Amino acid sequence: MSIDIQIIEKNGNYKIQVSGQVDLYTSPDLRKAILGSVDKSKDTIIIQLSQVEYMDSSGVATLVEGLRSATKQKKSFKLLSPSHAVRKVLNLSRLETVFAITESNEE
Amino acid sequence: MRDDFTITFRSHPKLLKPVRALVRNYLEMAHFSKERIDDMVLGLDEACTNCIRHAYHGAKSGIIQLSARLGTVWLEFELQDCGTCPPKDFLLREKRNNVTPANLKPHGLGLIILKRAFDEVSFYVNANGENCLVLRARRKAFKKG
Repeated sequence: MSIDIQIIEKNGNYKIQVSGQVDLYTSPDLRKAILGSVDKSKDTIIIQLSQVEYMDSSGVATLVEGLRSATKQKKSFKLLSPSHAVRKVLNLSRLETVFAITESNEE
Repeated sequence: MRDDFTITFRSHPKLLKPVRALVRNYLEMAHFSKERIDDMVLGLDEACTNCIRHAYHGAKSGIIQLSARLGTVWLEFELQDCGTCPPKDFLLREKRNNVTPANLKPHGLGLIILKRAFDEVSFYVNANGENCLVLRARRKAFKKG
């Protein structure tokens, strides 16, 4: 596999650390992790993307699904430190302003 | 223009990674900037993903053929598949203005990316009935000496 996903729970909230390549082959695993964490989370989900080497539209679609699910459940959904590859695909798909993006690891 | 390479591969998502690596190496050899290479690798990956998802509906045994040719002015990739033919106007479907979390949709992103990654994108069905997507990128002006 060219992706590594770690789910960290703290005080009922979830942080997902993603590293490697997110494409049509690997995005189903990320989707499962994100949607599961959104459901279980108390009120905040953070997706750490600083170690993502590559992401295509299936990865972006997965993030969009996570955001939609979190919004529906009135939970906060943030992207933490997206890598250059992630920023590029968000920019090319014109979705860079839709997500809450943070560079701080405080939460 | 003659093809520099032609490869044939199955429509299995796990093959996208080695295809991306091949395309990246080829574009580096053609001296495109890193930024443009990143864009085109992503664009081509989206085109292959579309073949897998829409032409072959996720079946892993479909055949995809990728050719690359480099001229003095243009770089051209051609992607062929024998799957379902897309709607005639599929390349024109790109309306995604004023996107908000409320009207956000997870589908149709690939085509937007693909069209932004290349200078020209065209589609035709060849004499064998295969779907052919042509992706073209203009090379920088070349100075002799």
